[in-house]
Amino acid sequence: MSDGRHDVPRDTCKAVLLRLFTESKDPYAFMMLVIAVGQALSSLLPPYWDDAALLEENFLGTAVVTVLLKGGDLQNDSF
Amino acid sequence: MNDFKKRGEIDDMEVSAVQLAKLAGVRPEDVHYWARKGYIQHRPNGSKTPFVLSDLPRIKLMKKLIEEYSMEPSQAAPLAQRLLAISAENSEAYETALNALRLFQENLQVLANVLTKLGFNRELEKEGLMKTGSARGGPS
Repeated sequence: MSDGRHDVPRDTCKAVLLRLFTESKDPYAFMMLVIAVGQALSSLLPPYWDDAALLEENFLGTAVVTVLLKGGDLQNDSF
Repeated sequence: MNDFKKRGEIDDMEVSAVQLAKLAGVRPEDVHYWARKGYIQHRPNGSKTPFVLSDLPRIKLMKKLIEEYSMEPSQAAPLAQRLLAISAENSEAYETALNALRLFQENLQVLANVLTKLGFNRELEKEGLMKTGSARGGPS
């Protein structure tokens, strides 16, 4: 806990994602992106993945954040 | 008379702003405003029923997006249009759109869980997204 990695409540994180959605240039594309990334993560992660080494694999979080931040700004014809 | 014809006739049914508003759970003023903005159809023929029932799913979806996602009508209208277009069948369009929104919420939760567990508050902070305690857009 001391490294501050777990001090963000899930609801706040969800609220931030929702704000990205409402402020996106293309909310529909953002929706589809969230569904695609969420489903990919669900199939990728083991059931008890929080105990796994994945916790140390920040690339996963970086990838998700990057995809969402960049993807939310994509225009319709990019898809 | 087959079901398709019946449904088509019902969809084409002309209704008043009050009737449409009552069915959708919005104010008649909203119906008039959205019609003026071109978000829903309006037949300015002097009739007391210048609206069409087929716009009901769009109005209900717009209401949901505005109330639950704090969207502006100008954002909600095109999104509602695209969500309704997912299904080629008019009769299933509204339910399909709702399912897409449900799927979005479920996967949004997955992403929130992953990002929280990975402690990605710092990444979000870097983007200036965590500063506002009152993040806009949460379901009311």
